[in-house]
Amino acid sequence: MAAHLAHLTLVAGMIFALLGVGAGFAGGYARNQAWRRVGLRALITTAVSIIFATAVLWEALLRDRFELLYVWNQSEAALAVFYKFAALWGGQAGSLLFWAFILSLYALLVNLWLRRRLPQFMPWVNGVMCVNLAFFLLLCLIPANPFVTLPVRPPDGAGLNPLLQNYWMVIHPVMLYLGYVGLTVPFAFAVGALALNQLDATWLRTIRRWTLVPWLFLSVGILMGSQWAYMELGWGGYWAWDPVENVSLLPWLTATAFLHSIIVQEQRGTMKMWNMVMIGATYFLILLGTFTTRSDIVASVHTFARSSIGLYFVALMVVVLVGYAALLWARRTVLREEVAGAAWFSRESAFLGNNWLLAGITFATLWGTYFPVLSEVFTGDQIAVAAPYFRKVNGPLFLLLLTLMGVGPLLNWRVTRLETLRARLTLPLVGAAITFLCGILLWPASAFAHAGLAVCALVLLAMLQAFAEGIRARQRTREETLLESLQQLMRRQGRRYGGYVVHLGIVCMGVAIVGNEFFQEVRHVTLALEDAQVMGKYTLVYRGMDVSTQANLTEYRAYLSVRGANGKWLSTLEPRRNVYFKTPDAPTSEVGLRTTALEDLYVVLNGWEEGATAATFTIYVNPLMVWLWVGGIILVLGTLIALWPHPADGPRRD
Amino acid sequence: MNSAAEPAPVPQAPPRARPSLSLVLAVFLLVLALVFLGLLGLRVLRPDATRLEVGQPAPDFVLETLAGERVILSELRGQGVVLNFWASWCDPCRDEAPLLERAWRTEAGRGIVVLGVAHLDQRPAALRFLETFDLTYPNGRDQGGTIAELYGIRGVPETYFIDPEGMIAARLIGPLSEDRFSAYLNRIRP
Repeated sequence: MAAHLAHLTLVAGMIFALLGVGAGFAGGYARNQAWRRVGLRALITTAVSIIFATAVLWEALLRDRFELLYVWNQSEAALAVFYKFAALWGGQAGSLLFWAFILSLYALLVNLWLRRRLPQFMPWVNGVMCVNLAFFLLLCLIPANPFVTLPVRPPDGAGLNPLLQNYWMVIHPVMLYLGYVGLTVPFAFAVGALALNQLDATWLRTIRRWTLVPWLFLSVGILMGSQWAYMELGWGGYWAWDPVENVSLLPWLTATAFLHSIIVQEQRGTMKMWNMVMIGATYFLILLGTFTTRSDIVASVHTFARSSIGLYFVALMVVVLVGYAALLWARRTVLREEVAGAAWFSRESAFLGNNWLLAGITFATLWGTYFPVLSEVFTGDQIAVAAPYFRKVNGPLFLLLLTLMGVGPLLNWRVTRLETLRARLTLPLVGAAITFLCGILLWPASAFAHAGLAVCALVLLAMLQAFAEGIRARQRTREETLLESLQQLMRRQGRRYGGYVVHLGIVCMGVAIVGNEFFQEVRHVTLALEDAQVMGKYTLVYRGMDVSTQANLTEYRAYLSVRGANGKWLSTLEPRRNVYFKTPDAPTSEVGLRTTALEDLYVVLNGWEEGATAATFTIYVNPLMVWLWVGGIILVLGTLIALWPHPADGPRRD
Repeated sequence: MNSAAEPAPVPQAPPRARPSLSLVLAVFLLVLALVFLGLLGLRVLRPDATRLEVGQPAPDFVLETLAGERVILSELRGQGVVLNFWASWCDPCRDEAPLLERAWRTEAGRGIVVLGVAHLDQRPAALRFLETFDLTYPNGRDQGGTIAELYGIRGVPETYFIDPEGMIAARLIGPLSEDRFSAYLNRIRP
C-alpha cells in the first residue's frame, strides 16, 4: 500500500519538477518575481516527495517487504540491519532514487544558504536542479521503478551482492554520490552566470565552497573504494584502472582543475572560458560516469546492474552538451580573455600547466576507458587496454603534475625573478637529488621509481618551506610563538595553507603508490599444517583453520602466525573466505593484514584441502601502503582548513 | 566532456589573433563528443545478452585457437569441459593459469578438456601470456566478444564447468581457488 502511495508521490514529484523547470527558467528570463516563487515552491514540493518515497523504500527494506521486487532482489531476511539499510543503493532502481534524494537535499540546502546572497541566480539554479530531478524521476518511473510489486509475497529475498556486504562498500557509494551529485551545484550556478551574463569572479567566490565540499566527498569516496578493493578483492592492489574506478576519477580530475583555475580568474581575471568549460566538463563526466556504472557499457568487474537506462542518459548528455555549448557560444565575447601577459615563470603559467596536465590525464583516461567501445566500431573487435596502458600514459603525466605541485607555489604572480626562484628552489632540489641518489644506491630498482620518490621529496620540502616562510613573515611583525603563527596562518590564510596541506597529503599518497607499484613482492604458497614460509623478513607458519556458520554465510578462517627476522612473535594473521548461501559461486575474500609504517604484510586465503590439512595462500609485502590512507586523512584535514570560514567573515559572507 | 575544453585559448594568445582557428577547434571537438555519444547510444541499443544460469545447456560456439585449430564446443560432448574466460591484462588470470594447465595435463586422459577464451585481448599479448605460463590447452581469442556475449560474462576471470551432456554444472565468477576448482571438476567427470 505504502509502495503504491510512494509511486504516486514520485509521479507528483515529476509533475512539480517539470513545473519547476518552466517556472525557474521563465522567472530567470523575465526577471519575474511571481514565477520565481512558483519555481522555488515547485522545487521544494519535488524534493519533499522524493524524500518521502525514499523513506518508504527504506522502511520496506528494513521490514523485509519482499512483495516489492526491489527488496526481494537486493535483500534477504538474514541480512544484517546495516546492510538492509545500505541495500537502498545496492541496486539499480534504488540507487537512482538515492541520487534524486541526495540532489533534493542539496537543492534545499543551496536555497537555504544562497537565496539571500545570490538572489538573481536562484531561478536559473533551481531550474537546472529541477531538470536533474525530473530526469532521475523519469528513470524511477519508467525503466527503473523501485516500487514494482509482486503478485505474491515471497518468503525470502534473493540476497544482496556479496561483494557489497562490507563495511567500506556501504559508505563508499554514499561518499561518491555526495560528491557526484554535489557537483551539480556549481554547474547550475555556471549556467546561471552564463544566462545572466554575470561572468565576473563574484559568483565563483561564493561557489568555491560548494565545489570544494563535493570534491572532498568525491576524494574520500574514491579512497574508500580503494580501501575496499584492497581489503575485499584480495589481489594486493588498491586501484586496477577498472572502468568503474576510472569514471569516478574523471570528474575528480576536472573538478581539481576547476578548483585551481578559478584562483587564476579571481586573482588575474583570466581563464573565464576555461573555467566554464571545466565545470561543464565535470558535470558531463558525472553523467557519463553514472551512465557507465549503471548501464554496463564497458565490461567491468564492478558492474552491478544491467539495464535499459542507457538511452535516457545518452539523450540527456546530448542535450547538456549541445545546450551548454550554445550558451558558451552566446557569451563568447564576454568570456574572451582580457589578456594579461604572464611570464613563463609565473604562478599563472604553473596553474595553466596544472590544468593542461589534469585535462591531459582526463583525456588519456577517458580514451582508455572507452577504448573497447571505440575499437569495436572500427575493427569489429572489442579490445581493452587495461592497466598497463594507464600506467604507461598516466604515470609520467602524474609525475609532472606532482612536480608542478611543488614548484607552482614557489612562483609569484605575473613574473618571478630568476634569483628569487633559485633561492626558493635550492633546498627542495637538493633534497630531491639526495633522495634520488640514496634511493638508487640503497635499492637499485627502476629509475622511474626513484624519480617518483625524489619528486615527492621536492614537493614535501617546497611545502614545508612555504610554511616556514609564512611563519617567518608573521614573526617579523608580531610577538607570537611558532605554534600560534602556524595556527594563525591556517585560520587567516586557510585557502592557501589548507591547499598546501592537501598537497602534503597527495605527497604521502605518491610515496605509497611508488612503493606499491615498484617494490611489491608476491608469492603463492601451499602450506601443510605447521609448515613455515619465509617472506622477506617474516616467517609465516600455517596453524590451521576454523569454519563457522553465520546468518547468511559460511566463514572459512585460516590462522598464520608471523615471526620477525629475530624470531620474535609479531602477530597472528587471519585471512578468511566467505561463501554466501545465496550466491555460492562468488565467494569473497577478507585479507589477513599486518600494517607498519614501512610495509603491509598481506595474506589472501586461496583454497584448502579437505580437513584443513593444507591451505594455499598468496602472500604480499606491500611497501609504504599505510601512507596512502594517512595521505587521505591529511587531504581531508587540509580541505577542512581551506573550507573553514575566515575569522573576518561575518555570517553573511561565504 | 573535457575535449570540449580545448578551445579555451591560452592566456598568452593575443585576442582575436586567430579566432577562426579556435572556432574550428571548438566545433571539431563538439562534433567529436557528439560522435562519441552516438557510438555509446548505438551500443546501448544492442539487445542485452541474456544471463546464463547453472543447469542450462551451454551455448555452442566455434573457437579459433591461437595455434590455428578450430574447436567446436558441441563436438566435445561426452567429456567434461572447463571453459575459462581470461585476458593477458588481468592479474588474477595470471594466478589461475598454472592451475588450469596442471588440470589439463593430469586430467586430459580422464575425459576433461580445458578451454581458454581470451576476452578483450590482443593477439600478441595473448600469445605472450601463453608462452609465459607455458599453456598447452586450447586457447583462442574471442573475436568480437561473441562468446562472452553468449555466456553473458561479467568480467574476467570467469569459469564455466560444462558436464558431458553439455549442461552448465557450475560457474565461478572471479578467481579460481583450488578447492572449488577440484569440487566443480568432480561434478563434470564423465
